[in-house]
Amino acid sequence: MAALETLLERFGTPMATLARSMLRDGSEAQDVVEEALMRAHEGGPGFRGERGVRTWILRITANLCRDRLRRRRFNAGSLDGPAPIDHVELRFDPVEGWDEAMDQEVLARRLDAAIVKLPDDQREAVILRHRLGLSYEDMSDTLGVPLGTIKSRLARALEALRTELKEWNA
Amino acid sequence: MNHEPNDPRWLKLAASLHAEPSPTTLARVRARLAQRTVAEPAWLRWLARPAALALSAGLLVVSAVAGATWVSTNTVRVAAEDSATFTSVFVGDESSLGLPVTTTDGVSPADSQEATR
Repeated sequence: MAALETLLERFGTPMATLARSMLRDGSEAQDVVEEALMRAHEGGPGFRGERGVRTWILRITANLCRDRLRRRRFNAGSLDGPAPIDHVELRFDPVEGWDEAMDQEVLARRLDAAIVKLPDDQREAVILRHRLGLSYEDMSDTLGVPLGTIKSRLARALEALRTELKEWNA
Repeated sequence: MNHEPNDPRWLKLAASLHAEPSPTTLARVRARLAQRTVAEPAWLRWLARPAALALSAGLLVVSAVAGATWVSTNTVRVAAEDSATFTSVFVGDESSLGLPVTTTDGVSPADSQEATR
């Protein structure tokens, strides 16, 4: 049985980032993080190594997020648009080596708004790859889909983002 | 961060947003775990474990098959024993058809009748 403190300390940030980025609802995301921790604690990771535990606990979190999104659609969903980053308590951390002339935070917010518009599977892929920094192999383990599917989802997502943010491509 | 050479530069900004779990997460998870333990009896939690459930189902099937085999084998044996008993009673060596017959030494029932006449 994995210690709760250790799981939270090591994986709390990626879990919360994934849940809030996917669900766009602070309280629902917090509930998912708690539920994922409970399942991980009860399931017991055994010996998986650090990388194995991370993909395993992110898989639990991703599955819970999908369940919530499915349930939301089933219940006709919210009529409100996707919540902005402040509402879902996503914190902005400046990226190193960015061009000072461009307002990084404004661009980050616009990029986030564009990511929110992606279909769930593409959004999930972009968040795991570009927000949490997972490798293709780890993404495949986390999402339980083949590498080729991961790459095609990312390619389609990137194409949609390029279209959405076309003025930045120059 | 994982960034391919042909990825647009602005995609790096996706990594600039993060979230932390609420500071009360640990306490809330512990409370929920405690509540779940109280709410669900131990046997129900045990039953809910898929591995235990699969094992139980497997044992049940094996027991059912073994029981059915045992019953069919013993039924055939009992039937065989019963038929031997009936045969010996009705078509026995003495041809008495199960009726009590008193015989005198060395004389068959038919012979004794003739002797009486």
